[in-house]
Amino acid sequence: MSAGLMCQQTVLDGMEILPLPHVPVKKQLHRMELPEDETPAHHVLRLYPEVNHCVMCGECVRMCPMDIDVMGYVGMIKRGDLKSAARESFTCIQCQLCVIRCPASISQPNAALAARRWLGAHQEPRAEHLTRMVEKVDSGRFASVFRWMRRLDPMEFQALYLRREREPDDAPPGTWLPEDQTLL
Amino acid sequence: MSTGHIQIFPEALRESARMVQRTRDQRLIRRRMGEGIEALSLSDRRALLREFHPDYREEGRGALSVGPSKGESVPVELLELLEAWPRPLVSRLVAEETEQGALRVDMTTDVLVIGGGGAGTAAAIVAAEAGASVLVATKLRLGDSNTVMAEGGMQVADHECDSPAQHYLDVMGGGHFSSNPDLVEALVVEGPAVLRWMEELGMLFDKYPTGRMKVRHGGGTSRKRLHAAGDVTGLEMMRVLKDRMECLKGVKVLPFAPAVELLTDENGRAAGAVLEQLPSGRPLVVAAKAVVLATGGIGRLHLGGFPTSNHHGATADGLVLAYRAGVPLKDLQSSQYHPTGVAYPDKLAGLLLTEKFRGLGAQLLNRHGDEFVFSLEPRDVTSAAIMRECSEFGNGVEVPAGGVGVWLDIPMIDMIHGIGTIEREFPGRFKEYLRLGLDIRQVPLLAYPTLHYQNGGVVIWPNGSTDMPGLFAAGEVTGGVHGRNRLMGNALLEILVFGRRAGASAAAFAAGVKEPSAPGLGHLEAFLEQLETVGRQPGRTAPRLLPAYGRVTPV
Repeated sequence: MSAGLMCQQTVLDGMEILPLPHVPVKKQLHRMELPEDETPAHHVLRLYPEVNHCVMCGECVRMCPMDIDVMGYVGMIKRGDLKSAARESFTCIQCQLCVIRCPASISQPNAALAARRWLGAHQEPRAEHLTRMVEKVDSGRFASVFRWMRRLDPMEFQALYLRREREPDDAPPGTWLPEDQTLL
Repeated sequence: MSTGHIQIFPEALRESARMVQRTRDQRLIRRRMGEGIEALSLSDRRALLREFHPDYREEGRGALSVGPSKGESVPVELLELLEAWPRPLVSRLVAEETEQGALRVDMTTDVLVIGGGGAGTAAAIVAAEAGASVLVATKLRLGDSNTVMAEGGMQVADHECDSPAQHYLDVMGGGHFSSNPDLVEALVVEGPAVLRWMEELGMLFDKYPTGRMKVRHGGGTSRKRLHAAGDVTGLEMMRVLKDRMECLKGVKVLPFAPAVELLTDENGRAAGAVLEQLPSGRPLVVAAKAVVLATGGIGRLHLGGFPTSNHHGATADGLVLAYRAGVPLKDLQSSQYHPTGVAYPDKLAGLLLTEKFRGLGAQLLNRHGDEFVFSLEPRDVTSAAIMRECSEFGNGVEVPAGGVGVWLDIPMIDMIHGIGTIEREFPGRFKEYLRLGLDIRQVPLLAYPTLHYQNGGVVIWPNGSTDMPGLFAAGEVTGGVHGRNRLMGNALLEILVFGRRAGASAAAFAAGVKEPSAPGLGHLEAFLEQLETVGRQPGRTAPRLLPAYGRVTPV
């Protein structure tokens, strides 16, 4: 008997398939609010302390249909290296195959998900250009441009479309500007 | 690519693969000099589409003879479902209602969300945050949807050279000026806010160390504005949305419970739905003060016999439900064929090779290893060009297992951007193909257009409402945002913008319903009468729920 994902198994003659409808997993409910005296890495460990119980049997790595080094990222979470854990777990499809074999009852996919979310929300720098654009939109800056564009007759509007300047593929981020800036 | 790598291909493909290898250096030089094939003019686009795009052919479609969009032309596969009778369990409930005067309600909720993909989940989050009790009914499991299969990215105008107005222009032109301007304006103006929302929820976008978003071009864009999370953008989005939803009080999820009929009250208001529990087939009558339809698309109907990139549940259920309840549909004569579905390896036929490959420089090549189209035209134009190359010009590569394709020269990417780019930017695909013995850093793959997206659908207003009070809709099931052609990266944006709008509107509507009246199936009567008048006999039923493949009996 072996476990695997139905979508990845080749069907063989005489094969019997037994679906596993439920896999018990630990799931911490959290609100993404970081207490002042804590780091994101520390907080993830507090949500999923059982990563410390990993006995390094490697069953999770053997099971993973995405070839993720599950045991590896569990170690990274343990050491507080959220960035590496996020990179290693990035293609996780949360199938829970690692969970059903883990002798230490770790919910690896959920711990990894927490690691990624807390990294993204509290550790990675925010996109400042996005903040500026959100402010621009909120200030109503584009209302008049839209009013103008939507009043154009179809031929004028199509001409505007055809006049678009295309940002060069290799333009360094945040440097290139079009000559015609009426729409900015 | 050494000869060794080519040995992985079957004999029949090797000669052509060698041609790709032989022309690669020349093509790289031409690309650097800016001498590649140029984008087509609007009139050339039109001519190409008219002759080779399936949307522009008359065969394979028919006019609706009943319902609110009577006369509208739709694909025959969809026509069959829209002009079909309810499933047997609904017919039994109709009889029960007539007998006893009312339906027995099994569950009640403020907002019922039908569909557990990206749009449904976003709607559920916002509705629950507004204080409504939410029930999410989904045919398979939460997240079992096209959203998780989205690879390339999400378009948002956030950089200095860009603006929502510029984005608007791209969307309108890409859709051949057939989109609903109000919906498009809502889409692009709210883009930056939903990108910030996802960033705050902890979704990991590709970023530079300073926090600046990495962006690139997609087909038909004038600015680099595709935001990706590796090549698993939809998966990462869904993981985060699902986690956020599960962390909220007030949301309950019912998996394996597809909606098979909407319920309405005597005022013509949406009042819930009948769910069919899988696999038992037992009905579950849910009364709701507001309903959000987010059932996704149509790919698994395999329009015109095309392969599809869609997940197994994409069988047009939402369109059937809405249409029978009297809500009009639009633009369903047009479907999106993604230019690069897999043709070889044939095991993965129809699945997606993301447009991001082309965004980073991979070219489309015929069997002689020659470029034949600017690889970043709008999707429908690229698809039509591939179909022309394979049919009229006969320059396609025959796949031994059947079918035909053109090369997608992925190894170029490492040569343009440096070794390691493919592995870093496409971690999901890289591993997937390596498992099949194909190292995409070394070998090209064969691609052919695959049925990818339903451009049209339920008619909605900018706040997510439909023509029926209490019924809201968002995502692929709706029409008007993309007109007759969607640009890459606008669907992930759409499910967030309109999912959130539909969720907020539904919660507000539900809060205004003080005394819910009894939900029923009364709206079916008029529709079924019409069906009888035009001679459609009971027998064919809809929604179909799952595609009928092989010997498997659909539940």
